[in-house]
Amino acid sequence: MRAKIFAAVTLCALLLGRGAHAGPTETFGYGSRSTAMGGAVSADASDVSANYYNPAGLAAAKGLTFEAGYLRTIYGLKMNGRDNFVDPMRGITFGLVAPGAVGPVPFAFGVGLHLPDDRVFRVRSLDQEQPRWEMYDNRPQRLFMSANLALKPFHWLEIGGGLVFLAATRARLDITGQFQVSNPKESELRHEVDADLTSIRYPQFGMRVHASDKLRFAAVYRGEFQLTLDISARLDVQANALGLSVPLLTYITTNSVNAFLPRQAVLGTSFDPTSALTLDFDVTWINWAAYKSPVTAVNATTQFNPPEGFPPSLVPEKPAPTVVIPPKFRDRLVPRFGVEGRLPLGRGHAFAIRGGYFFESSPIPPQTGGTNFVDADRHGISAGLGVRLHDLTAEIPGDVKLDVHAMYSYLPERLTQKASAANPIGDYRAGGTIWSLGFTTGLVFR
Amino acid sequence: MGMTSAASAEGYEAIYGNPGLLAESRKKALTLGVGIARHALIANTDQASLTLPTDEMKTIYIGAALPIPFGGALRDRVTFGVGFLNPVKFLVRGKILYPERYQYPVVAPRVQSIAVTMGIGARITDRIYLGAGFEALAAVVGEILISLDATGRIGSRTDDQVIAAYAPIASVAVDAHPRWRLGLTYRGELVGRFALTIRAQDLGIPLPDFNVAGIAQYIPHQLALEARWSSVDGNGALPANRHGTRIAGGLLYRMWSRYPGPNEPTVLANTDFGTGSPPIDAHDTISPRVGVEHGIPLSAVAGFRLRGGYALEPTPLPPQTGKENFLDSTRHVVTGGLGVVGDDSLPFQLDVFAQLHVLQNRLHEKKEGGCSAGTCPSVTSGGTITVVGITAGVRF
Repeated sequence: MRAKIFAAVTLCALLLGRGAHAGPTETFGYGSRSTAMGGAVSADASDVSANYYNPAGLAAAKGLTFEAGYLRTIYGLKMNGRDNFVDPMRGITFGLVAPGAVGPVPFAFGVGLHLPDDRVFRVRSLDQEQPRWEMYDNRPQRLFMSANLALKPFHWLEIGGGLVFLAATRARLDITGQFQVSNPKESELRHEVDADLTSIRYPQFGMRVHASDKLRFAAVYRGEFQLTLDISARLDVQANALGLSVPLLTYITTNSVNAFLPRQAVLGTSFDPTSALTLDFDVTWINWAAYKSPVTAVNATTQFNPPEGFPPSLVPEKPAPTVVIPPKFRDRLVPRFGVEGRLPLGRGHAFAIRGGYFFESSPIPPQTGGTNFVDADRHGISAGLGVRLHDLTAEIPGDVKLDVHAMYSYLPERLTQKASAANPIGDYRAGGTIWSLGFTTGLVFR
Repeated sequence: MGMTSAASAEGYEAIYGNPGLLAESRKKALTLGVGIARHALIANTDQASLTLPTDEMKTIYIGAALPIPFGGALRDRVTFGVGFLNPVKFLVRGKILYPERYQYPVVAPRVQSIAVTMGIGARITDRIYLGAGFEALAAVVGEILISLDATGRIGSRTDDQVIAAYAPIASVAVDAHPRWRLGLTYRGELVGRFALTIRAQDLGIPLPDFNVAGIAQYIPHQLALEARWSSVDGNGALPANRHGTRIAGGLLYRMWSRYPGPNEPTVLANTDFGTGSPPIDAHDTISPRVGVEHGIPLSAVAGFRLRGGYALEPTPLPPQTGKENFLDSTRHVVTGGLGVVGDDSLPFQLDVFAQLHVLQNRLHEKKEGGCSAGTCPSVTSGGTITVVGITAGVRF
C-alpha cells in the first residue's frame, strides 16, 4: 500500500513536473522567517516559504497553515553618485500549507504567492546602450505563484515538486485602412490581434534528508525560466498625401527576452546544536552563463513605391536592424548563512531572533563595450524577530505567529571603464544599497 | 449535472458555483483533472460551407478545499477553497479579429483563458451558508516605442505588463427543508483586455500612435438562482454506500448588454471613425438548466455516481445584418458523467464528464449598408462544441 501511494504521488508530482522560482523571491526572499535567516533554509523551511525554498519541507508542516504578509524594497542604487531611481518592488505575500496523510504516508499540498502591487509581471526592454541595473530594474517586478505537492515516504526523507503559472507573450498585429500622411490623427485605421500568453513551466524538485533529530540535509533543483515578448506587426494601408493614394506595406518584428532566471542547484544543511538554536547553511550554483540579452531585436521592412511627384521627404527610410550584443554573463556560487535562537515564553508561546548573511558575486562581466548592464557584488545582511502565541483563543487551536524582517544589501562601488574613448556613455562608477522590509503573519492549526 | 451549481456544487467546484457550500467540505481535499474541448463552429454561405479553424483546447484543473480547523464557536464552520483552470498551451489567448471576419466572440474565447478562483465558505447556522470569493483573469497592457538609436539602427523600448482583472463572487445557500436546498450566487464582470500602444519615431514618415487594443476575454455579470432536491435526508453529498438521487434546477442570468464587443479604435484621436463598426448591441440572457445525480452503492465503502443534465443557452448577440460577423446561436447543452467515490476509509474520488453543445442553425441575412454586392453574403451560424474530462481527488 505504502509503495503504491508513494508511486502514485511521485507520478503525480512528475506529471505536474513543474516547479517555481522567481525574481522577487530569489532577490529578496519569501517569508519573513526565511528571509531573516539569509535565505539559507533549504534544509530548514517547513512553513509556507518552503513553496519556494524547498517544497519537500511542506511534508513536515505541523498543521494547516495560512500566511499573509507584505514586502517592500527601498533602492539606493547610484551611478557616479547620482540616484538611478530604480522602481521599488513591493507586494503582498500569501500562502498555505495543508498537511495530511494518504493512507500511512504523510502528504502535503502547498500554495505560495507573491503578487506585486501594480502588476502580475512586466516585460521591459531598453535600448542596448542605455545603462540599467540589470538585476534589480525589472527582474523582481513579477508574480511568484506556485502550487506544490510533497510527501514523506520514510521518516528520514521528504520529497516535493510543484507547478507555476507564468506566461510568455506572442502577438501578431495587423493594421489596415486609410493613412493620412499630412495629418496622421485623421487616419481611418483598424486592427486585428492574435495574441497568446503562452504557459511557461519549469521544474523545481527538492528533497530533504533527516540524518538525525538535529541534522538535516537538502538538495533543490530549479530549472531555467524566461519571459519572452515576440510581436510581429503588419501595416498595410493606403497612404494619402497631396491628392495621391499609394499602397504602403510595412512589417515590424520585435523579439525580446526578459526576467531570465537561470538554472539553479542548491545544497543545504540545517543543524540544531540545542533545542533553542538552529544553524543553517546553503550554497547555490546559478547558471548565469546561459543569460540571454534583454535587448529587443527589431527588424523593419517597408514596401513603398512612390509615384512621380510624391515628396521625397515623405518617403519612409529603411533602417538597419538591431544587432544584439551577447551578454556573456558568468556562473556564480552564492553562499548563505542563517541562525535562529528561540526563547520559550511559557504556555507554548515563544520568541525568536534571527540573522543571516549571503554574498552574491556579480555575474556580469566588465561593460567595456556597447552594452551597459550595470551591477556590482552584493553583501546581504538580514535580521528578524518572531513571536508565536499558542492556543490564544478557543477558536484558534494552534499558533498565531508574527514575523518581521529587514534585509540590508550593500553593493560596493564598481568602476566600469570603456574600451573606447568615443563611447557615448563613457566610464562610470556604480554601487549603492538596498533595504528590504517585510512582515509575515500566520495561523498554524494543530 | 447540466452546469447546475448554485445549490448543488460540491468540493472545490463550489468556489465558483456557490462558495458558501465549501463549508460542507469537512476534510481537506485535493483534485486534479484534465479536460479537452473541441469546437466545430460553422459559417456557411450560399457559396461555401466553412468550419472555422479552432485549436483543440486541453485544460488542467487543480482544486483544493481546506476546512479551517477553528475551535470554539467557529468549529466545523469555515472552509477555504482555491481552484486553477489552466489551458495547457496558453494562459490567455486573445484573438481580436476584424469585425467582418467570421468569429464566435461568445463561445470561442471562454475556454482559452486561465481562471484562478479563491473563496471561503461559512456555515452560519445549520441551514444557512454564506460564501465569498473572487475570480481572476489575466490582461495585457503595454507600450512599444520604435525609433532609431545613436548608430542609426532601428531599436525599441518595450514596457509590457500582464495585470490581473478580478471579479467578486458572493453567494448564499439555504436548506429550506432536510431535502430541499436553495442557492443564489452572484459573479461579477470580468474583462481581459489586450492593449498595446505602438509609437514609431524617426522612421521618415509621420505615423499616428497605434492603439492596438481590444477585449480578448469577457465574462458578464451573472446571477444564478437554483433549487435542489435530495432523496436522502441531509443536504450534503450523497453517502457513498447508499442509494440516492439529487435533482437540481435553476436559472442563470447574464448581463451581456454591457458587453462592448471585442474591437477598439486604432487611432484614438479619430473619434468620428472609431472602430469603423457599429456597437455590438448584445442583450441580457436567462439560461434555464437542470441536472440529476443518482448514487448506487458498490460496496460498504464505495459508491457509483451517474449524472446527467441539460441547459439552454440563449444567444446574447443579434443577427448580423451588416458587414460584421459576430456570430452566435442559441445553444442546447447536454451533459453526462460518471463517478466513483469512497467514504472516509477510502478517501478517493474519480469522475469523468462530457458536454455536447449544439448551436442551432441561424441565418444572418445581410440587409444594411456597408456591404457592396457580393462582398458580405448572408451566413448561417451553428455547429457543435464537445467537452470531455476526467478529475481525480483525494481527501486527507
